[in-house]
Amino acid sequence: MKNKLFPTLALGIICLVVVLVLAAVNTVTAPLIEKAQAEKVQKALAEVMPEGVNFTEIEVDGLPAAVTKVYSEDGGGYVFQMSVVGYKPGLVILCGIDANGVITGADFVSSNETLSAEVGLGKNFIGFTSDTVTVELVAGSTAKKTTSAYYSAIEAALEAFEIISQNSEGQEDTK
Amino acid sequence: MKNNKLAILLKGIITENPVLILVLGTCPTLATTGNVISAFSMGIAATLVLICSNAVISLLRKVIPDTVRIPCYIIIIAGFVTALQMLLQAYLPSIYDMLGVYLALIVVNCIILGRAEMFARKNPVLDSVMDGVGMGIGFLVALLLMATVREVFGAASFAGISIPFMEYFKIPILTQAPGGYLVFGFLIALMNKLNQKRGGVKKKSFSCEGCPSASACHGGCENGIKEGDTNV
Repeated sequence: MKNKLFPTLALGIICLVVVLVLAAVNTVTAPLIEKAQAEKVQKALAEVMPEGVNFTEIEVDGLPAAVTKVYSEDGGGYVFQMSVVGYKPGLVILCGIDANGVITGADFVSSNETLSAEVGLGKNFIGFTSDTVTVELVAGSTAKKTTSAYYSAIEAALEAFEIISQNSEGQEDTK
Repeated sequence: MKNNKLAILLKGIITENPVLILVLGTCPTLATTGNVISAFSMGIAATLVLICSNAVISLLRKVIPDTVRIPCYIIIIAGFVTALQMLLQAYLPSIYDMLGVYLALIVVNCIILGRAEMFARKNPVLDSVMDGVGMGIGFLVALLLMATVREVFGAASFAGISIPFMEYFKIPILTQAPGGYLVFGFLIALMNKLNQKRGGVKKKSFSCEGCPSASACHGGCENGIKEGDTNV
């Protein structure tokens, strides 16, 4: 009995001490991590919409499932964050669309796959709208799953923009 | 006493260099030596974890039961790695992003678990710390050496600073995975050559016990008998 109890107890105590130490470190670092991530998001937003000012996160219902976050900016544009599945889940992409429905930029925020040429895919979409964007824009790359996922993310962003535009038009008509 | 500590320290850097002699920690070595900054960051991160885990495991060596020692070591190492991840994410987010998944993979780095099992659990705290420092510096030096060769000759830059005259002579494959293996091989060969002058790398002798080929070999490998010899 002692032979079984002591190892279990020792392992349990070590786990407990490690958890307490990590909780203490987390208490100190959590606010700093949050601040650093907020700065990172702002930087990424500015990259996909260089002329955008004052981004605010908004909540909109009825958007495509891939769209996880929506940011509006003072000039009437929106930045959409999409999470799609490439070779693995967790391919997070930001896409900026201005008030006229024109794509201002797109970029990877994070991914769980090894990216090479796909890193620069976003610039292919700049200047396109929902009418002009085609799958040929990304067909040049050999990494089909990642590029297909990228394309589906951009499509979801454009669809989300259409929904938001229709909603705001509807609200104006009601007034 | 003082010489003993110095010998432990130097052992990790030269005679038992974890990367170039023991060939441990190959995954982060190949993955993070594409540029000097990421190699330096990985070396420092692994060294810190190695020193702290060696110290704690040595401190608890009489308390940790033998039957659960490996899970205990892994929990201690994982604790240090997670704390380091949080600290880097908070204070040096660019380094955290650069190291990516390889930072978390320090938990399963064979150098750290290997030193815990082979050294820290049998030796006092100070010796274990010295071993951690020596092995850590050895790891760091090997990474820096490899990253310097790969970045200077592969990307014509050093730590991100461009070297204009190298631009015409650069060999881009060195920054890719095959180039990593190539440089790694050459550095191991160079280390072996240097060690030959000092009497060569000591080969450890293992008994036949536990060897899957024991029934066919009958100790032939120990006696230098080649496969196919009938006079066994």
